[in-house]
Amino acid sequence: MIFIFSTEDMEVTTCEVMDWLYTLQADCRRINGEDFFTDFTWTYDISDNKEHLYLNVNGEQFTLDNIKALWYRRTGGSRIKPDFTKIQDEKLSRKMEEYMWSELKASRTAFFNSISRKPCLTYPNANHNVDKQEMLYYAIQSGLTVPQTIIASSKAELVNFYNKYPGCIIKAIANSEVFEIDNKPYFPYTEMVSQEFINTLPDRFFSFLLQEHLTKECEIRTFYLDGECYSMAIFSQKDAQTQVDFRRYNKVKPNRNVPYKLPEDIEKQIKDFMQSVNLNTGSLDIIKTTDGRHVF
Amino acid sequence: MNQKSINKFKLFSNCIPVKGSRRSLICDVQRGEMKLIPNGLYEILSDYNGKTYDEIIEDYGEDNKPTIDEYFEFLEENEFIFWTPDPENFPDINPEWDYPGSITNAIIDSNENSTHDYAVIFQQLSDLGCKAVQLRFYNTCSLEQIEAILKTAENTRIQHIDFFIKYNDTLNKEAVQKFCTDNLIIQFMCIHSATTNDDKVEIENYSTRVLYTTEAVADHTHCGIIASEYFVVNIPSFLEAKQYNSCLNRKISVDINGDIRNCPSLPKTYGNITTTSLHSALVQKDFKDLWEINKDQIEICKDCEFRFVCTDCRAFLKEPNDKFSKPGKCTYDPYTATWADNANIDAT
Ligand code: SF4
Ligand code: SF4
Repeated sequence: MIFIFSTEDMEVTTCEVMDWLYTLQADCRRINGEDFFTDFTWTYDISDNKEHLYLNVNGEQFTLDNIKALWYRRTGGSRIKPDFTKIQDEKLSRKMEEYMWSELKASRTAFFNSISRKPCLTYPNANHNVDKQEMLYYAIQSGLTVPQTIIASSKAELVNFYNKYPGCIIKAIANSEVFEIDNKPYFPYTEMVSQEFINTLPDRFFSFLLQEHLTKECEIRTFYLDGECYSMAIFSQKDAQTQVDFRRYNKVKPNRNVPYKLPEDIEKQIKDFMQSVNLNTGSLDIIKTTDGRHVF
Repeated sequence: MNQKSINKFKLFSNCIPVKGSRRSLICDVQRGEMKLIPNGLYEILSDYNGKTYDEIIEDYGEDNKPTIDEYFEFLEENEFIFWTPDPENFPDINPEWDYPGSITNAIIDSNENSTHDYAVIFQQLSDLGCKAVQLRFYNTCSLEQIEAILKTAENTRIQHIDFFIKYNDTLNKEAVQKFCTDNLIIQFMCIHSATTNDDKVEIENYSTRVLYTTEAVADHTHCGIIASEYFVVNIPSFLEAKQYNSCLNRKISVDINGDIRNCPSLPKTYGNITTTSLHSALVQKDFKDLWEINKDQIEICKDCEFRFVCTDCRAFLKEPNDKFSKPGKCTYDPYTATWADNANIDAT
């Protein structure tokens, strides 16, 4: 039995893979993250010095022994809506809710730790949010080329970098996301460093991340699966090397996406990199620069 | 143009040139578009893909420079090519075609005498992996009857159902619009024998197509029409057509009497659905005989630039006794590059 953890909505990929599994007569069951604490029930049992896991999927019973492999595609939000309104004290009610979520999270971790004793495509409890800089570190360890990057907090360092890499960009250090206030979206933004900007800076200030500007030939998206790289080149509109008026582009003319073959040595470095960050599948973004470099 | 002198040109691998007798076609299978080109340009694209502009000029001579410049302007304008120092890093599209199931599409015909058990048929189709079904009613029926049929497709792998239904008063525009909005499994609904033609019935927010036509779809002979408006330009259908028959591959049908056939218009039957399962019909030794007849094997079509975007027909043939002859209802002549009827103009 192959277990698939996925989500309910907008998940065509899981359906397509299941179509193939069904056609190849592989037995599989899908559990959507939304059902994790509701329709789907399970018991983790570590009595008598032995670990057991019992699963009940729509009335069917399974144990760890029935499970051949796990595909951890992704998980959805939970359908649980905690109601602590009976507790008058707002502070206490908030703390109770926090406490409840941490209990649920821990029980989930126990479940996934146990099921991870089987072969998994993406180990559910692996840390998937390794910091950007840490990723860059593992990338250089594997021999991949990364953009010239510094994190610093003094004007002298900034000027130094700027002189070395004119046109360099300043961007967020954290994996920050878009947020919304009163229907107005705010997003972290990448900006080219200019002399005027530098002139406004004091000698010492808040931390910043600087990166060299890369002139793209194209972007490469590599899907990595168990040792193999499947790459595609994306020619984004603004880099399309045509003489055409940009206003003519619209949704009807999507970016050109074509198969791409990375040089062997880079595929080998990607494999080493993925192993070093404990991932057996995932997508990587690489930039092919006009001077022929493949930059991670 | 600086690019031209240092880099090599490369066709985007999803822009595939197909050579015809008089002219060629670039099939942009990513954007679903096609453009006719002269055979001279086809030659350059196939012989010089991955080479420099200078190499072409060297071989063709300065005299031909204006024509070649015009070609490149056209190619760049349509984003068919790009310039790169490393053309070898851009492989062709993998030519393999496959599908998770032994059947991709089915036709179920019926008239006033048919007694199909749709629940059984849909379940069997679903087990074979079929996702698209066409139901052709030569008779008329009510939306309640259609709804009852659709119910039996629930919880199966069938994802799209197309209908042909004979017009009656209750099948008015408002009722059909509402019905299609409530039943999104319907992708195409053709009301035939209608009082007026109407192809502007919109289903708000969805891509469902509804069409009223005064033409009568009275029986299975109303099929096999080849027209440029039916050409399909996308990766799976292009790759399938290169290897297999673009109409009959992985198709199965149940005719008005319940007889199982590859298509309702083909003579051979493989048992009746009341006694034979679709699966056991499919595994009979000659069921798939026509599946591998691709356009490269068909007379005349093999010289046609539209051969991989065109749907084929093996039931109605120019030479009924030759299974490799051209579809009987096609009026295109690739040797003169003209359509015999005015209905077809080159859509490109
Ligand atoms: S072979 Fe011809 S008649 Fe049969 S389904 Fe295809 S187009 Fe229609
Ligand atoms: S000759 Fe007619 S049927 Fe044959 S490929 Fe061309 S358009 Fe299609």
